[in-house]
Amino acid sequence: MTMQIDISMTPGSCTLDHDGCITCSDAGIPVRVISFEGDDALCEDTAGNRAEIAIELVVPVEVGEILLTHGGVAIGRVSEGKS
Amino acid sequence: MKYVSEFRNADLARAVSSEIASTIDPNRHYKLMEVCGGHTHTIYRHGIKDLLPDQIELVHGPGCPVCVLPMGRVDEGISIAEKPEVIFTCFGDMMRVPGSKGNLLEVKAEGADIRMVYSPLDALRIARENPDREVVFYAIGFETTAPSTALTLQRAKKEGIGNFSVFCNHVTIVPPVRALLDSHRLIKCATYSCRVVAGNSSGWKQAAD
Repeated sequence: MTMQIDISMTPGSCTLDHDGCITCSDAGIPVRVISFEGDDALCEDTAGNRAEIAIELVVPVEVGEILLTHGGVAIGRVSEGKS
Repeated sequence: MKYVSEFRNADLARAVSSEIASTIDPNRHYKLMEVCGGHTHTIYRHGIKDLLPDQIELVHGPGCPVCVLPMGRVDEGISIAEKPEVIFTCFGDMMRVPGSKGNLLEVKAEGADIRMVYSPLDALRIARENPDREVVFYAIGFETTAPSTALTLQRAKKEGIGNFSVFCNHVTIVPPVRALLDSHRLIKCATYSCRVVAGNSSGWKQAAD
């Protein structure tokens, strides 16, 4: 499942350390792909936090690409631009 | 993003309020609905309604997956968590949701092995690390969250992890929002669950936009 959503990667986007509830906030976190191996990618958010993200739903991915993540899983691609 | 400092910045709030007032059509009546009960509480607690022009009416919506979870489902989750062989995993959202006889946080304090996870993939890792225990993930969420549960089950099957199971409580946002849209009232669906669904259904996306 892939989709194109225009979301800026400028500061102000949700980050991996957001303190809201996973389901209540329903937050989608844009992250940039740093590297990937198999079904996981090391990604970084706008605040510099890094986490391993599952990428089965959006493969293939490229280094530098921006993914939209939720609960540790990439659920879509993001094109850079204003939301 | 630091929610406390940025979301509670009075200057920013006044600026956004002014922009909203200057953007709307003063001869039109708007109805905006939030989905989550947490949003409802925030709107009331921080007086957001008073920052909006009179033309905007806030209508409180169907509730998020946590808000609408029947108490019986919480009780069932607790009964699973109390089994000594079980490591019970769930999102932090669920820890304080009341059942008929308490919540998961209280049951954890009484000795049940209940662990908060950020992702169902964390629960799968716990299962991998504890092959002698049954790891149960309390799955909850709209269409945004359901893929992560499904993906985790696929990984568990692929890796042959036999001590991992899911207590599924996922719900969908489409039926209630479709009912609201069919009533021909303007709805702003700000959650990612609505974006996820809208992005995969061209007809519904047109209505949502």
